[in-house]
Amino acid sequence: MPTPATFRLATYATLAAACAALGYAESALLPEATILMGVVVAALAVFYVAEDRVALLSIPAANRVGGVIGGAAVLWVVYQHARPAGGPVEALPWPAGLLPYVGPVLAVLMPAKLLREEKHAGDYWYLQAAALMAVALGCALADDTAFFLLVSLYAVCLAWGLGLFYLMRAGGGVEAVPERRTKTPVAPPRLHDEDHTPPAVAARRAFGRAAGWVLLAAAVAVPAFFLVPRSAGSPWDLGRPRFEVGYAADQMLDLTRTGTLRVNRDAAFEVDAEPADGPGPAPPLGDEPRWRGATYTDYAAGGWKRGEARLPLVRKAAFKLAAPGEPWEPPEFGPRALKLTFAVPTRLRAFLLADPVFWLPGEPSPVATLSADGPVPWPPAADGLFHLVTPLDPGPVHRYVQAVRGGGPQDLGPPLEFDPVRGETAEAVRPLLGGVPPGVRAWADRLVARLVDEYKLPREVKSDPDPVTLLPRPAYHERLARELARHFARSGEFQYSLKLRRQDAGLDPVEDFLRKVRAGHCERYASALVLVLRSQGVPAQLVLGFKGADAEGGGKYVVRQEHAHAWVEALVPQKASGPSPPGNNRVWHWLSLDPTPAAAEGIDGVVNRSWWDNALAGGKNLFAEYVAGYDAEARGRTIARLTAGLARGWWAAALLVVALAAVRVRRAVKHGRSTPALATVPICGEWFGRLVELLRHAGHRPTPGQTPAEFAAAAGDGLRANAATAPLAEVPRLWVAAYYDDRFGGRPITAARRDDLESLFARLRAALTPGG
Amino acid sequence: MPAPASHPEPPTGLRLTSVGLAWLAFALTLGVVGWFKTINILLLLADLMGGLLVVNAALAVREVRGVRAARVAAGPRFADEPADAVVRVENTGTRPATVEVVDAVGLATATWLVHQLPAGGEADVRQPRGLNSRGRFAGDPLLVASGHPFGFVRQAVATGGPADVVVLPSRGRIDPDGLRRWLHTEGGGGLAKRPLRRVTADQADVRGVRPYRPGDGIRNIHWRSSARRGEPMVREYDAAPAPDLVLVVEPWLPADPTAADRRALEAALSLAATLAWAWATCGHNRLTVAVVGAGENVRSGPATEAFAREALAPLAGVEGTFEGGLPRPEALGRGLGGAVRVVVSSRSPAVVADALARAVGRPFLRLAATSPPPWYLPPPARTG
Repeated sequence: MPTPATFRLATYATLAAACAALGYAESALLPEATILMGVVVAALAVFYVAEDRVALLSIPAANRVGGVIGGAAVLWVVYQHARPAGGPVEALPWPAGLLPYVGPVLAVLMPAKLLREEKHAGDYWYLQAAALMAVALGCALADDTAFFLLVSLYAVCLAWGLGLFYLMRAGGGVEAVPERRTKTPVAPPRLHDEDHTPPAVAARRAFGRAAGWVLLAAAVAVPAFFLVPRSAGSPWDLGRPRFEVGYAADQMLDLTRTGTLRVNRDAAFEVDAEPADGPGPAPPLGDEPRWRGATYTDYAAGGWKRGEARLPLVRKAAFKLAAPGEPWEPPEFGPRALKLTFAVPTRLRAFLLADPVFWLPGEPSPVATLSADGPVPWPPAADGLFHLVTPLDPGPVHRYVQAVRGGGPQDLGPPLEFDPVRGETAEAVRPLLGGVPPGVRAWADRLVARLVDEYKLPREVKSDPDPVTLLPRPAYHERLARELARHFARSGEFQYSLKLRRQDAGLDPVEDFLRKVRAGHCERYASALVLVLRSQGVPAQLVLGFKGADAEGGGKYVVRQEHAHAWVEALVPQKASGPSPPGNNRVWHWLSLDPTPAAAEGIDGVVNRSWWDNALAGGKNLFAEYVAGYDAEARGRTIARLTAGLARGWWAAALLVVALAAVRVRRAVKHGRSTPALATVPICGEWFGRLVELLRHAGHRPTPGQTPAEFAAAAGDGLRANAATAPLAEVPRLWVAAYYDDRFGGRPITAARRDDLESLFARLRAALTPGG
Repeated sequence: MPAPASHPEPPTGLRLTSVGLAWLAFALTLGVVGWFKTINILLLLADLMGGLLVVNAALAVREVRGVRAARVAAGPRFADEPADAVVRVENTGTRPATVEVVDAVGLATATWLVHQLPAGGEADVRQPRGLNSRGRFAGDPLLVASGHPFGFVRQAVATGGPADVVVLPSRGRIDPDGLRRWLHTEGGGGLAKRPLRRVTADQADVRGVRPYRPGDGIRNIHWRSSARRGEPMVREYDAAPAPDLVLVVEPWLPADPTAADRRALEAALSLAATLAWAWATCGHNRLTVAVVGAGENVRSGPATEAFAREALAPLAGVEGTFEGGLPRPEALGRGLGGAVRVVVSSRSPAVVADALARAVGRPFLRLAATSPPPWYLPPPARTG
């Protein structure tokens, strides 16, 4: 039976856990509420220590205090609403904007209730209900892993507190609600407690039991959670911008944002890979295929925009355009070529293509839309890429096909030439050279000089610059680009992190990243490399898309939002291998560069992560997929996996069920055998007396000061001396051992043992009383 | 007053308590909101609340299974007598059990929480029985219940059978000397003096006098001998043959009784119980109690405390009678002539006493509740 102090500890711990969870949930919306929750938790600790030492308030006085606190809370909410700007009321849609203000009101009413001097069961129910409402409110305000852990802690405390509360109510330790007391005039319950465990140990055990109960409840709740069909309504969103890893093709990249990016496990699109030359097993795509989406060329003040200018790089005449009515055929890329069929949801508002997009002069376009009338090839654009210009049929999914070369991802795109009409001029590539902040340019100059000094770049990069621009000559652009990307990715001077922060808000975000922060996610690395390359005269642009894919088997791949990635394309010249126009013996390639550190595949991305970080990252992934982001689609996937798993391991599951049933039956049989009728002979008291009474007739009497064990030993010796009773000489010792177990050892005599002892006792009685 | 004869069936089986109902409603509300708005943690919290309810039900069923309870038998008791309800609880299961045991008798309910009763262990639990008025109270079967661990769901099983609890009328106080004098005075015509003296505080024939010893009563000092011997002398008595008591109780009530009539009835029953108890505790031979109007309700036996309780048991359920038959003379015993014969009635006892006298040929002493004798102090009136 819990002591009142243990009961109060469990109750206060429950309230404190609820306040902690709500405080955490409020932190992003109403920081002052979090401070208030901290104060409430401290007040709970003080009340727990001082409640039984100081006089608390009478019920009317406590109600008045509660009224004052509630009134103050209402005034505070009104003030929040009336003040010019900044509160959640303005930031969130009505009436959701009021939700964050309900939390502090709930929290302050808890200690107000605790101030009551005479608390009955209703008061404790009120406290538990307030705590539960606080946690429920927190669920509407936060859905991250830390909050989930706090809710889990609250659940265990809740089970602990409710368990002790039940015992206190049933045992009369807490008074019933007054209205019920008058309706049913029954005597207060009496307590009979067989548990003499010290309070501290009992409290720990009770907490452990509560954790077990919560686990059992979770065994019921989790399947229900996973199997219940999801609502078709839109997910709850308080209106906060979702700050997560993901692809948003139509939004400006904003490098000024700070905070922690969340992982989004939602599927972005699907790709089916098959050999281009016919049916058969498709070769793998490689470890990290890139899927290019949008390119960004214009940078200013920490933001990237998609530029309108297209470089005059290719001529449409280079392609074999299909005549009207002629079916589209993919270009001939060789024996390992692949045909990728994309299924991209319309809501993604993007067209993803495997990067780099290869094409061959005189061959058809490598990309074609799958329409009802057959494949419709995409025309080439002036920048060497392919863009859909004809509208698609409205529908939930865009389907198109791309022919790619085999051999996995490569970083160098197909050779390009500038349009001879417009010529290869500085003006042509100007859109890919602008927007470099002076601080970035200075930092890049120092870095290039350092790399030259470290012999990672040829000395000519600095000693033999272009006479006009005083920047490295184009002949060194490719090497320069590769070395700079390698520096970002592998020098160890930068770290990947989803925790985006600014250290000096007065600097340009990229300059701040390069000089101060030196940590961030792919967008920051790509932005930095683009600007550094541009500062050295290398035309570059930022590419937003995806990197990686989850293989589903059978050539099917799912690309998720968490695969969203940003990288760099630099336009670098190479010597032309074939015949070229007079005076122009070079071609241009888009060189894909990934400056993001190699350990970027995790959640936090700290280089050389420990096993704990890996476990944490895995846990967060699971939470994101199966709790926070569990929607109808995820449910479908889960059930499909479960079904497939059961189909594969049905026999194991059946074996497990049979084993569990066998254990259950065995327990039931054992229980049925060990259920005797209600015994009427108590063990203690008369137990030892019966033995003394029996042995007295045989002349064995306990001497003063003799313990029962000593008496049994002496009597046993006496019985051994007689041939008739010698076989039963051990009976006194066994009898007294049972007496000791029951009375002093805390081990009650089982029915079977009692029956055995009674049988021996009867035999001893028969031996000692001849003829009786 | 006697309790009603029938009781509603005790609630058994698995039931959702009012608290559990509120919990379920709360969980459903959170679940609907969480599902509709796709607040997954809220939905999971609601599912967990439902899971706790299921766990509560499973554990409550498990706690009760294997626990048995039985009332420890207790005989009739007087209303003024403190008595405990005693129940023996045994756990024949394989785990410690935490159960509530409910013993409902009449309107009084005794409840115990037996916490962590070890497997194979047993315990006697007791609680003062809150029955302070005369009656025969129907006891429901004991209820072994458990809402462990949260009290949202309650599993209850009835164990043992129904058992009545008999509460005898309250006892007053008797002044032994006054009773002795009254018997001597009222019983002079035909009653022997010896038994009349004997009934008063164990005093019988005076055998002689002896010197005073500490502890001797002042009343026993023989002043004349003391004056003659110059030292205090006290009377010394012989043990006398114990007389019998034939007590006839008439619980009369008019057809349309008033509150005063009912008070008179209770007073008569208390007087009869007090007289019989005084007789039984003084070591007399036999005690016969007959109740008028209750059929052949005559109980005769050795004048012991145990038999007195048994003989007075019919008084517990008496509700009063307007017309009733007299007990048959042969049922009152053979030694009627040497016994003290008393009629106690809630009205004038002359009617029954005269009728009995005519039937058996011997007079009966008369005691009326409406005019209690001076040697009798009625029990204090109870309120509520």
